[in-house]
Amino acid sequence: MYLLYAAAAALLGVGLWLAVAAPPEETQGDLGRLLFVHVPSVIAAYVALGTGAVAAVWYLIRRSAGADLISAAAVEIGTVFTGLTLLTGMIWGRPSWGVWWDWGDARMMSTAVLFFFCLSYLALRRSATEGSRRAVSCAVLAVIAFAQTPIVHFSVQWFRTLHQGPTILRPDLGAVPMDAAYGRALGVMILAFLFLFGWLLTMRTELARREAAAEQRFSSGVAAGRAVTAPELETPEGGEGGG
Amino acid sequence: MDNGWVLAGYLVTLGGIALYTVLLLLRARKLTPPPPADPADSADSADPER
Repeated sequence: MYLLYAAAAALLGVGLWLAVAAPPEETQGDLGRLLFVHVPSVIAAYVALGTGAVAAVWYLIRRSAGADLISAAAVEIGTVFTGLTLLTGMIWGRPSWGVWWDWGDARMMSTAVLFFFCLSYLALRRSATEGSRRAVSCAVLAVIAFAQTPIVHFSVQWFRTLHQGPTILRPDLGAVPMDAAYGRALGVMILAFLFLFGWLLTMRTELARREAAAEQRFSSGVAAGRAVTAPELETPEGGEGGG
Repeated sequence: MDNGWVLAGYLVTLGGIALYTVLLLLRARKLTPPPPADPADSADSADPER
């Protein structure tokens, strides 16, 4: 875990230095530097939601409690990165397009729909009480949420709206039309965000395990008819969705 | 002018990740069970002469 943290911190440091050292973009000027946080955020979100979906499928097949916790942790982190993608996109859009938000834009709207699916996953995680039923419902929702990521990614090709087409991760797998200085900074930042995701996933999964154990203690205490103390009551109610 | 937008974007991203990390750490701290009481202290407090 500390190795992941150290790698993420080191890569982030190098990535930020490269982002500052890169020359202003030819047409966008300094605004182009927002690319170095916007794109890694969305790639980390794709990877997080993908991890959540794989773990969810694993749970549905094997009924592994560990897979359920990993899925919940990954989707929660994916929600954070999707939210950051939307925010940095809006911050870029205001000076570039003159608007914070365009309701007719396919990329913005599909990302917003994905974000709301993620939020509904977190709400479901907290609302349903019965363990295995909650895990099954959440696993299905995690798969549905991830199924939307191709729609988000390819929306700029399927619909000609405000957002520009893909520069990297293009379906034709052609060479990335990007200056080497930009490519280096972007590559390092993507790697840094992936390591950050790995570190956060490790930490969040461990926390989810503790939450599940606390929830178990709480349930067995209620079943045994003994008084439930304030700290015990606090633990399952205030959970972050992983338990 | 552009630099303000760039700074805002970086602050939102890095600040958001940092905030999420801090919330996770606080939650983990809250869920960490307290260390078991020192048996010597318990014996002392149970001593009727104290």
